Amino acid sequence: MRFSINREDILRELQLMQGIVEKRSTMPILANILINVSENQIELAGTDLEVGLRTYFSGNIEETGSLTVSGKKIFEIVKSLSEGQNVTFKELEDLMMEVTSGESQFKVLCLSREDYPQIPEPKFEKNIVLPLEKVKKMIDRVYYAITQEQRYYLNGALMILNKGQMEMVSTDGHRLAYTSVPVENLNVEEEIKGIISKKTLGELKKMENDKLEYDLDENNLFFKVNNRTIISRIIEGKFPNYEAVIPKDNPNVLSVSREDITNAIRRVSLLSTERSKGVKFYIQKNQINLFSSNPEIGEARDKVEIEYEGKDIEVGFNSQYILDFLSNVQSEKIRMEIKDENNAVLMVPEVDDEIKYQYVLMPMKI
Amino acid sequence: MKGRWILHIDIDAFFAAVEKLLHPSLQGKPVIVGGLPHERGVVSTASYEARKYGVHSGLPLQKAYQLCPQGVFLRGNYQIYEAFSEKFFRLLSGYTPDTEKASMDEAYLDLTRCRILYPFFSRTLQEIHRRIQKELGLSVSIGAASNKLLAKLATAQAKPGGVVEIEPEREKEFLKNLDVENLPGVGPKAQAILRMLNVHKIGDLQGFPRATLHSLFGLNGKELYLQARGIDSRPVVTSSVPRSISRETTFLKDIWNQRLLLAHLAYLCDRLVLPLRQKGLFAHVIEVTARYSDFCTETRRKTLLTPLQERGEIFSAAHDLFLDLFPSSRNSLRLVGVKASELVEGKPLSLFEPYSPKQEKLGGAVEQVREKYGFGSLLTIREKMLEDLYTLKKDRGFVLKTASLTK
Repeated sequence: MRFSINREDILRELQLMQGIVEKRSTMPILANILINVSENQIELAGTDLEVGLRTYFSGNIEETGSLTVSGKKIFEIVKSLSEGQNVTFKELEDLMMEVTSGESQFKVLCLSREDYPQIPEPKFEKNIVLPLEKVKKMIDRVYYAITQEQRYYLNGALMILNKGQMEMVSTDGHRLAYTSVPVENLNVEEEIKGIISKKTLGELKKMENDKLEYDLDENNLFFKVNNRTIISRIIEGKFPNYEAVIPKDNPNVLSVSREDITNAIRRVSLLSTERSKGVKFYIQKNQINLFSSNPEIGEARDKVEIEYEGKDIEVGFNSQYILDFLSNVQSEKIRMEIKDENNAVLMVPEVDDEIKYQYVLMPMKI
Repeated sequence: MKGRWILHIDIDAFFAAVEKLLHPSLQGKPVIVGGLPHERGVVSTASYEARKYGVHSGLPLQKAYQLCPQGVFLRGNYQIYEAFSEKFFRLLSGYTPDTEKASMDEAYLDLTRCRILYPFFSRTLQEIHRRIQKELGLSVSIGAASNKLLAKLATAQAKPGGVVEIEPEREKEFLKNLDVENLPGVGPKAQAILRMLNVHKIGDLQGFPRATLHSLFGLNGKELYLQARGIDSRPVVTSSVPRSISRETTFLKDIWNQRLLLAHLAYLCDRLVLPLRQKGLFAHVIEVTARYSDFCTETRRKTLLTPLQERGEIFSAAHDLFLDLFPSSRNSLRLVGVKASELVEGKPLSLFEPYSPKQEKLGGAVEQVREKYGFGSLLTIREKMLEDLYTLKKDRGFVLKTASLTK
């Protein structure tokens, strides 16, 4: 194997690999990336067995072949070289690779290509194309409610494709974020569902283009943006019945300025307890009084004007959970639909942008 | 007196003093609370008569017996001590709401806010001293100064049964001649280092620059620098969320039977839930400790996304942790314990399990029954197994081995 390429052309791809390859050294080969040079293109691939990335690009190919090498080291080497320089990669004997550029020369140990795990091959036959920019916005709005815990089916967001519509949902058991957007020319015969891992969503956020191609087989989801393909193992398990927990007709509806409530919660939560972040809401006609206390620090109060005609309600929330929603909304005003202090609250922007956004939040016993 | 008015009040030989009060025949005798001479475990409290023989808290019982064979050894009764402790704090809180419970028998009072009520400070100290003696029958030592550190050092001088007040102008003089090991920042290790440097009195330590102390003792050195000058800005903390709450017990005899061990664990969880409920706290972390007959100790912990307060849920978590520990056991156990930490005051409700107040109501009902008829009036079947091992007192539950004085 031997090829040379402009530093910038390979650096970006190597950088993307950093998010993919395994950082803990449970299986040393997973810290490696695969370099596969064929007659007409160069392929880089990395995987942690859950999420994989393949990327194809061209270069000055002199000899075909393939090997695996530490993803981190090779990235650091290329990054250290001067901008705009040409870099040559050459396979040596005894599982070594040489990297040269100008006067610099590196020899790096490789691992046998045969030991590298198989990364599934996508076909993209279903011809599903999604608007990437909208997908990225949806990811932002569900990302924070994804948890890392034993209920592994909550370690990702559920994506549902229907004719003309795409939905994304996430929940950690205490709150739920739901987004949906109409997609023109989305031709799926029947509903397509899959839980996408948090890591994959994080990688998708880094991609740039207007089109995202999507495909799946029994075990994997495939996402293609330009020359790059993300392969994501489907998270098994049944995603909770999210539709059932989105409140439909909570009787007590209030409307409040997003900025006012955000700032007030930020202030009051300074004195809430570190772990629970509990803030008490005293909701009355046209005002909310906020209160938090921490026996080791003190207490805080604030008041926000709202539009509200319903009954008086005293309810506690995790302030961080509310701020997570507020920081992802553009609408000037937001609406809260409440039943009582024991049942789920629905929060929505008063004016939706192109993406519909609903946030369901359980109160907290304080 | 300018500045703050801080009192430190400590009951003299608390457990032993209560025993003497309940059994007047023990007056004047060396009383050692913690267990019987042949038992394992350590001394919880030794009366002043016993201290003359070199017996002190923390000393193994068998060692204490060697030093003081004529001593009266008692297992002690934690619940009675707790009742006395409660009375002690109730009396103190009549003087100021700014009362900190440092341990069962040790309190800090900040009289600064109430100083207008006590124009004659020294007289108030004497009055508190007298009232505790009269109303509780217990002797206390009182130290008064402008901060917690100095007040506590003053109490040490006042022991037993005295009152020592340190006026601000006397602070320097007072500190200078005290031995360095009186400072809370000087443990055995630091003491050894200071000895080598020929530092014996706090006055000697005052000559050391901050940087030198820092390089000798790290962060602790900075603390020492301040302590040596009698500077302490810690407030009297009236109520605070405890960092953790734990319950553990050493068995009368090592136990190998798993069901019996789980019965102990269930009972300890039950006792643990009581303070959690009373303080309105939920625990994010449950930890189980097992000590084997060879004194090797193992713990297992579990972090929970949804914090727990309810007895059944806490036991279920502790149960799993314990089974995780016990298969690895080569030995029988001498102690089990359960600890709740990362305590929070709120519980987030779950989206997918509809809110049901059932468990909460059950917990509340159990608490009410126990309040009225005593802790021992209501036990689970599992806990009932313990009846073969321990005396069951209706009002206080099982009489396990005496717990220690520390919180």
